[in-house]
Amino acid sequence: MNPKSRIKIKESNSRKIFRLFNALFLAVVCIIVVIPIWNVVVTSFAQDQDVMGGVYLLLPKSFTLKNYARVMNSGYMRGFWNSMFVAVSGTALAMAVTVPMGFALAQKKLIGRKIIMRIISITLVFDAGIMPFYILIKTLGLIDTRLSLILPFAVSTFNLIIVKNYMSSIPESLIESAKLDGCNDFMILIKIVLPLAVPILSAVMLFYFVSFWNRYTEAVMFINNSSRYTLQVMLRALVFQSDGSLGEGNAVYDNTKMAVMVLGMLPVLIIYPFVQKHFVSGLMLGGVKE
Amino acid sequence: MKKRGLALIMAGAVALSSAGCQSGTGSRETVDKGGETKTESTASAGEATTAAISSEKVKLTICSPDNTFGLSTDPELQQSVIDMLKENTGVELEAIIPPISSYNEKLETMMAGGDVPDIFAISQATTRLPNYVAREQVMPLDSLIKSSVKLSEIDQDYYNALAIDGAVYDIPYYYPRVKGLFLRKDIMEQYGIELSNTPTTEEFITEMGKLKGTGIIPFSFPKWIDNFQFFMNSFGAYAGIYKNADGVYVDGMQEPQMKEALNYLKELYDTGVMDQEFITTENNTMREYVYTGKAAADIDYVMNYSNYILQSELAGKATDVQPIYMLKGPDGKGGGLNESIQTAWCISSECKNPEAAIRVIEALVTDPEIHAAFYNTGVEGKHYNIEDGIAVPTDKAANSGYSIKYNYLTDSFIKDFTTLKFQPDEKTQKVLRIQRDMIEMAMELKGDKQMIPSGISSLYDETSASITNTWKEVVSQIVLSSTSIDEGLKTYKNFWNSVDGDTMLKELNGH
Repeated sequence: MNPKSRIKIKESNSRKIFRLFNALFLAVVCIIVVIPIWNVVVTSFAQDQDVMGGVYLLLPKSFTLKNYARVMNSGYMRGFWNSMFVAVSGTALAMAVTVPMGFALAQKKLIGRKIIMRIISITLVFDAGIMPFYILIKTLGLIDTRLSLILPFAVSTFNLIIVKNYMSSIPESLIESAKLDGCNDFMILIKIVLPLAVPILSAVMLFYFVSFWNRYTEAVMFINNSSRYTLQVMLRALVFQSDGSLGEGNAVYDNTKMAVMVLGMLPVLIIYPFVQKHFVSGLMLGGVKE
Repeated sequence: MKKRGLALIMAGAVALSSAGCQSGTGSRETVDKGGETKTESTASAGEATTAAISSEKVKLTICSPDNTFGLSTDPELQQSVIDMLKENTGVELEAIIPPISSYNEKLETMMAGGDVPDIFAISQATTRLPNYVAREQVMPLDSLIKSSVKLSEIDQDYYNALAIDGAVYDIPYYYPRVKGLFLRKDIMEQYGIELSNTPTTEEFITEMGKLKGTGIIPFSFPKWIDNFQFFMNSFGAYAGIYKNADGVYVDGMQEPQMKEALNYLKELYDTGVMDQEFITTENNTMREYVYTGKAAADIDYVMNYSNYILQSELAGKATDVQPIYMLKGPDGKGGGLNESIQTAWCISSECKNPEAAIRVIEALVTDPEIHAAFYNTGVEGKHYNIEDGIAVPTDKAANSGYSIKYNYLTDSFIKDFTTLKFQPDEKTQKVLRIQRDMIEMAMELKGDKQMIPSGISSLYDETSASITNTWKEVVSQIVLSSTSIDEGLKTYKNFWNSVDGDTMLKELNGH
């Protein structure tokens, strides 16, 4: 249909008022979300004396790149690269496991499909806690290895369900046609399903990346050698450094802390725009119950 | 072609497995009667020399938070301190350096999971050590301490502070920590605040009240409710279970003097003397308020005096600060907040080489060079360089937030640090001399601190953490006026009954 030929529908006043309030409400929500991030960024560029005494900076008092220079030349970069390694390899492994699993579970002819799904779903509800988890990791010989931060999180039940639901929505006739053309299951997954599942794969990939990137508790509990600590561990150490009960640490000012925080946010901020266009549609489609 | 490939793989597998066999049988570790680990050769006579050389090598795990190992969170810099320690003690060490904010959780998880480090630092020792002893996870150290000349020189009272059933399970490395109040002298002069080092509770409220409406927070306080004990001391009150003057265990929250103490705390808050937002204030923020003149006073370790002088200067608000060691209550009672010895070293009960472990601890506690490097300064050439006899942080160390600290000169048991290659500048030395005098005074005026051993009352062992959490919650609600004193104490009494507190006291009193 030619767009010019569309009939213009007149909006009622109540509709206009609703839209106005809607816009105002969303603007307030945006401000609430943006202000802390803005504060972090502004503080990260401030001089030492401008951030002392619990000051909440919203307008820059000064501008210096010294804090970023400090961070770039400090041990925090090792944490950054450790996090990057865990997040990238973890996401790759998780995608490699989740996608075939989701594809297999989406096949209606799979024997015991429902039972398998129910068993998997139990992990959504029950969590044994850190102690059994520690003993499991210890038994597997993974204590103090980066693998302890990757292997146990290779499949997220939530992400698996989203992928499986999305793949269930792909018309069976497409898969049948591919089979008639001589494709095996693996070829169908690669050549037919994956190109159609780009939106959901983008969303799930982002979920995995963020979850690996932000992992903190396990990194503290399972890693002993501080050279393998992730950025999140170092960041928390930095924030609470001089607040402990075991004597006094260094007085690290908020500007340096915020510079490390910006560094911590950066990878996700960089990745998000690239997957943004698929993000909402992927989630909507994957979230539809079978 | 396929067969060749298969043969190649098989050959590789055989080569790898034989290599594995060699490394697996070439040596074995044993522990002799003296506790020394020996590496014995089981392969050939030719390897005997190697075994002899490595016979002194012992590998122990050492666990301490990241505000030790040279005060830097940079792993490379931490490693330089580990290397120094290895070199000086001849003990192979594998260090576990968790962030201080998660240290206790990490240590508890490891211990519960059966991975007790051979040597480890404990915090909140009065609470935690009795549990470790009850679980038989730590080793009694009396004989090992006696065998060390240097450790024997430390005043026995400091060992006794945490002794359980007459046995010593820890080695402290600092004098007991005492907290007092610090007041900015410039603000005192400007607003005519006149307070001695031991004023009365009333004088404190009246004088600090002069700052109301000036935009300056009269008294900044952290969110840690335990610090209220400083004010409770003035009324002879004690939060928690304690042994009273008659030698009987009682619950401090239910003693009549606690009501007076709570009244005073509430008055501090209601009159605006205490920071109205204290419940969300971190220690760091509280200190920065005073450094920058945003607040006139706060509560802190007396040993941090020098930080106030140096940091207020850095903030461009240089001033001296006056300590208040205690506030005298209506009956003349009072005392500094005594945290006793809360940090110390322990050795795992499963440590295979206690002699080597005590050697490491001895070096950390009594060797001036290692003590300074481990707790404060780090290693020369890595953390700092010496310029004209003064230590200057290296760029790498400074970038991680490291700065030179000299608190070890006043806190540790080591009397003489003159052997170090560098000394603080004249001004810092003067400040530290004052700090040492302050610490001595604070030690004289410190309040009560008690430790209840585990194993006397199973009820107490099970519920002590809940009791502490509940009194903290109730006291904070009372001070913040979320509840009245009577209602708060009634809530506490209900909790007390729910955990069968009276039976617990009977058990503790041996009835």
